Amino acid sequence: MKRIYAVALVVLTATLAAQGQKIEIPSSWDKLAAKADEVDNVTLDKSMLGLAAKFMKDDNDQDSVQINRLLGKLNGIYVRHLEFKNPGEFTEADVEPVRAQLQGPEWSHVVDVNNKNSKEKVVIYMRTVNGKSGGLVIFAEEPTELTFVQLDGSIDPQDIDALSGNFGIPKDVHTPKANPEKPNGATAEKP
Amino acid sequence: MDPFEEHLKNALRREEPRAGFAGRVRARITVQEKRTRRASWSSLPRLRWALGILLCVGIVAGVSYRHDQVERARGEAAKQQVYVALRLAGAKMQLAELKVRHLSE
Repeated sequence: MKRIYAVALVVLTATLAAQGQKIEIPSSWDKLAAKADEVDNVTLDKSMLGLAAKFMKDDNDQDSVQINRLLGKLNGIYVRHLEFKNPGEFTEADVEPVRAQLQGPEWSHVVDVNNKNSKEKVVIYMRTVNGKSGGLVIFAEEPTELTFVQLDGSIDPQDIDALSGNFGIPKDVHTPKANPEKPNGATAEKP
Repeated sequence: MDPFEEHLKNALRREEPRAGFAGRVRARITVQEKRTRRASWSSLPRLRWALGILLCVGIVAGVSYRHDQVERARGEAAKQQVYVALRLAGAKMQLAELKVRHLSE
């Protein structure tokens, strides 16, 4: 009987892992949001993405076709963006719980920029499950901004490339491919 | 007074109605009115059906229209949220790329 429960637990865990992993944003961010000048909060699950895709189809232009293709691969989009008037509104304690969730073996840094002079830190994390892409997280800390973007699903860096030139994505951006054997991609650090 | 006048006087003599006369008249009027009303509806069964169907179609169309409007509003909001997410993702990727380029130069 115990064996059956164990097998069921393994199957359930594997199913949940395959479905995606939503990163929990600490509750301290809600307090920060009250102090922020600008707050963007996006929570779109699979059904809402389907609805958005349906209405994008009506636009019928090239961008919408590409976004629709991207949305079809995603299980969810989760964004928290806070913009403050003055620097120093958030502390390491506010960001560490997020970083901690992105430390598992499934996650690798594909881009890691840490400029200590301008106090800007941008890390792009890629999730790989069984050799396949399982999502992307962009986590940016700037003196007056805190941004978390999670694109959950089997998204490829090429999908982002396809959108380059739109939505502020540079025309010639080429996000490095996630390599499960070599966890960290482009890393740039300036003291 | 001749016999004719006597007859006429008897015929035109005020006579009190029997007890409950007014009540009986009113009851008969009510029954008559009900019958008339029922007859006017039952005489037009097709109109009744048509009105019923029209009402049902109206209700279904109204509910469907409202549902469409709510769905459209939710879809448009979701679409705008997708744009916000992509704009932010793009901006941060651009920032990362600029920093990488700046450092490599």
